[in-house]
Order: sequence, then C-alpha cells, then structure tokens
Amino acid sequence: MINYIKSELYRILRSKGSYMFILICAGLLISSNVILAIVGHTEANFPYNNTGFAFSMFYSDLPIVFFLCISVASIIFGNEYSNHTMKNSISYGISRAHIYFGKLIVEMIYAVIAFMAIAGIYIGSAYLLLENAKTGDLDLLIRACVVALPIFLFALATTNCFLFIIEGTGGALTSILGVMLAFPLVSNFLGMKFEFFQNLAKLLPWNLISNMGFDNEKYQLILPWAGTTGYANYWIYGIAQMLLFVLIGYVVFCKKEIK
Amino acid sequence: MREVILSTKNLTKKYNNTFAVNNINMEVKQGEIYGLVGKNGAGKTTLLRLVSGQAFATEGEVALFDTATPKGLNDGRKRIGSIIETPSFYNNMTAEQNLEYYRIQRGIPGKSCVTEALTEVGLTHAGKKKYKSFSLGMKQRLGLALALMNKPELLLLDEPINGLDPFGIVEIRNLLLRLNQEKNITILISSHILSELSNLVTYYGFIDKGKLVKQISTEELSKECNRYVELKVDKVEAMTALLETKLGCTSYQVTPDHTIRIFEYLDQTSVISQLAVNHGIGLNSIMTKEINLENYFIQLVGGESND
Repeated sequence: MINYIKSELYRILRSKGSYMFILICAGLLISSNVILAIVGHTEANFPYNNTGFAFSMFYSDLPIVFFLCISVASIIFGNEYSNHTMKNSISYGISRAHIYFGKLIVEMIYAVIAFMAIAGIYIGSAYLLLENAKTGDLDLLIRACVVALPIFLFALATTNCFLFIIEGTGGALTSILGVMLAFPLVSNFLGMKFEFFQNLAKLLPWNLISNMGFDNEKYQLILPWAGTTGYANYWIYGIAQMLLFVLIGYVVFCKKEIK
Repeated sequence: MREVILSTKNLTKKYNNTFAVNNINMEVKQGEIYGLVGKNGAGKTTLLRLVSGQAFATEGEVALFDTATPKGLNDGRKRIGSIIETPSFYNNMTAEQNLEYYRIQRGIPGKSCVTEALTEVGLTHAGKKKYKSFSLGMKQRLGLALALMNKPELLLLDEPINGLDPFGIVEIRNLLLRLNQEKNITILISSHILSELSNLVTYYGFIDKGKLVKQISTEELSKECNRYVELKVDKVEAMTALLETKLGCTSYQVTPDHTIRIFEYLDQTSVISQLAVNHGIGLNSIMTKEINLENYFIQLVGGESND
C-alpha cells in the first residue's frame, strides 16, 4: 500500500493538473480580495474591505468546496480507465484493495494539502490587502471547516467510489451528482409530505453542509442540532455515509474486470 | 524435470453465453517459449487476462509458480512481466517517468533498473518526449521495458511485435531469444503472425474458439511439417500394401480424405507412379507438397477467415 501511495504521489507531483487546480482556486479567491481592496480604496464608506467580510464569504461558500472535492478526486484518479493504466498494476500483483484504498488516501492527502494551501493563500492575502477585523471571524472560519471536514471526506470517498465502479467519466459524474445532490434535493421535496424523508434529508451530506448557519455577531455556528451534539452529529453522519460508499465501491471494484 | 511455472486447470471464461476460453488445461515449463497461436478472437488475450488477474475465471483455476491461492497468485504476478493488449501508460509522462512510477509502485529497489530497461529495448533516445507523442513501435518497446524492469521469471506477451517495423521485429525477437537463453526467462507469447513465432518458440499451443485444440513441441511440429509426396489413387489399401512390400516404405500416412502422404521418395515420384501403374491402380494425382506452420494451423482450425 505504501509503495502504491508513493507512486501516486510521484505521479501527482509531475501532473500539471494538480498545480493548476490550486493555482486557479487560489487565484480566484485572491482576485475577490483584490477587488474588495480596490473598491475600499476608491469608496470611502465601502463596508466590506475587511478580513471579517472576506472570511464570512469563505465559510458561507463551503458548499462550493463540497463540489470541488469531486474535481480533486477526478484529477487524482487520473483517467485510469480511459488510459487503461490500471491493468499494469493489476498484472503486477498489486491487489485491488491497495489500488482502491491507495487512491482514496492520496485523494485525501492532496485535498487536505490543496485546501490548506488555498485557504492559507486566501487568508494571507486578506490580511495583506484588507483592513483587519476582529479575530472571531477567523475562529469561526476554522470551526466551520472542522465541522465540514467529514462532509468533504464523504464527497471525496463517494466520487472515488463511482470513478472506480463506472468506467465512463460522464456516467460516473452523473451518478456522483445524483447521489450527492439530486438525492438530497428530492428527499427535501418528499420530506414536505413524508416524515421519513424529512428525517432522512436532514442527515444527507449536501443538506448538512448547505444547512450550516452562522451568527456573525456572536461568532457561532448554527447547526440543526444544538451545542456539541451538532458538531458530533456532523462527524458521525458524515463519516458513516463516507464509510458506506467506501465499502460499496470496494466490494464492486473487487469483482470488476480491468481492461 | 523442469518446474511448471504456469498451469491452468479446466480454465473457462464465459461472457453471457459465449465461451471466450473453454476448459483449457495447459502447462508452461521453466525455460520454454510457449507460443499461443490463434485467429483474432480465438481467446488468446482472454487467456492472458485470466493469468494476469485482469479478468476472473468462470470456472477452473490458474496456478503460478505452483500456487493457486489469491495471495499466492498476486505474489506470483510480482515475478511476471507482461504486455497484454496494447501497452498503456500515462499520456503526459515521459518513458522514464512512466517506468519510475511503476518501479516505485512495485517496490523495485534502485533507479538503475529504469535506465537498464530502456537501454535493453532501445528507447533511451525518447528523452523528454511525452508518451502521447510516441509511435506505436515506441509504445510497444516501452511496454516491453516495463515487463523487463523487475527481472521477471515469466514474460506474458500478447502480440508484442504489433506496430514494430521489420528491424524492430528482428531486434525484439533477438532480445526475447537472448532473455530466454541467457537469463532462462520463460516466455508465453501470443501471436497470429505465425512466421514470427516459428523463429522463436519451443512449444506451441493452438487455440480456436476458446479451446486449446493442440499442444505440440517444435520438434514434433517439425516432423509433422515435413515435405511429403501426396498421392491420390483409387485403391488406397492396395497402394499402401505395395508401398510397404515393394518399396519398403513405412513413413507414410493416410488422411481421412483417402489421400496418402509419403514422407520418403520425395525426389523419386516416378518410382511411386510406376509402381501404381504396374499394379493396375488408378493414379489420380501425385505431387510433392510441404506443410508449413500456416498450413498446419489452417488444417487444424479450419480455413475460415479471421473474424
């Protein structure tokens, strides 16, 4: 497993895509800070050229990170099926377990590094370009990221699962969006009529992340469950659903023939 | 007795209701170059995919280095080098980077094996060229380099000379012969280009419609592929009796279509025709013929065109 992970890291370090992803995301975020700073300099009463607003933009947009996890997993997966490269590993006695879990671990390593790099660049640029607001905003941003972390891991694991079991990228992406977005939205609608779906919808990762609220005055997260239960439930439901898709993907991949 | 490196027992692979591989029992012994001969779609690639673990058998089993357990097979595959179907690598990486990626993955110590493998297949000139810009011949060479990188005990090669120019074919053939003779690497090679196999293999397996129809050593095959006099007469039994009693000829065979093949008197067909005429046997035709590998194969599997 360690050798597989090392080889994947070797490949990622030599792939333009892995650098481009970080550069594009960081570039877009920096540009938003640059715009805030420019407008702040030209308009005296502009209220948003401060780090507090910049950070609130970041944590309010965490659902976007959920979707970026799909891109991360796709970049790291490396078109194994269309390149037909996985057959080499299988033929040389690398077990399907090592390939499946090795990829997942590498996706998670890359995602954490990319997220930290992008967030670090964004926070750094905010401090450099904008007026400094209270420290509570950064605390709230960090807490929101910690609560959302299992949901992001779920997004990575589910994407990994479908990329392994469905060979066409189009089919895999459709399935991923179906499970991660369409199913929660349909459950929300059905939840208006049926209590079962109402309860189910509450637990689905997309709803968990999009239902996160923020009290910018008290610098507190507003979650569907009060207090520490809210934090714990995000982790429990996020990790449980992640494990479910990890397992489904692994079982199906073990029976899959490679071309 | 030489060790059996690869064996299959009642190996069967079915896709829907079609047998891609049908009840194949074969053995590849250490030091052999086993040529798997068959038309396109005969089941050669499927058989190699089953051996390499890319596909799963419907029935039967594969054993590598005398073990058939899943873990044993995976361990065995670490001692194998293979090219199955077309070689496949990461498009945006160079030859060296692709090999280095698999070297790390397979835990092969020392980076020198990458350079050695590239040198062995004549691909050192590829430099910084990305795999996506490689010619088919270069891709085949890189596939072979990957197969050789771990100093394998068994090579599984599925049509490895596809896409190579005539010089490349000779080079690769000589390389395979050298690996077999100097390093005692066992080779299982599939091809439908029979002339190429005839210069290389020591044992043949003929496969058709998923079935292994015949296994034969090169020595046995060369006996069967001799020149012979083909004789068509109206009284086959009387003619064979005459051949034995009058000419002392024992090396002949009668085919199912009542043709006599005589493996002696190859340059004295007039003696045979005279014998027939003198004893009142109607002589329909007499000619000298030769069975080459192509004819042998066509006779074995029938003369249908490739599908």
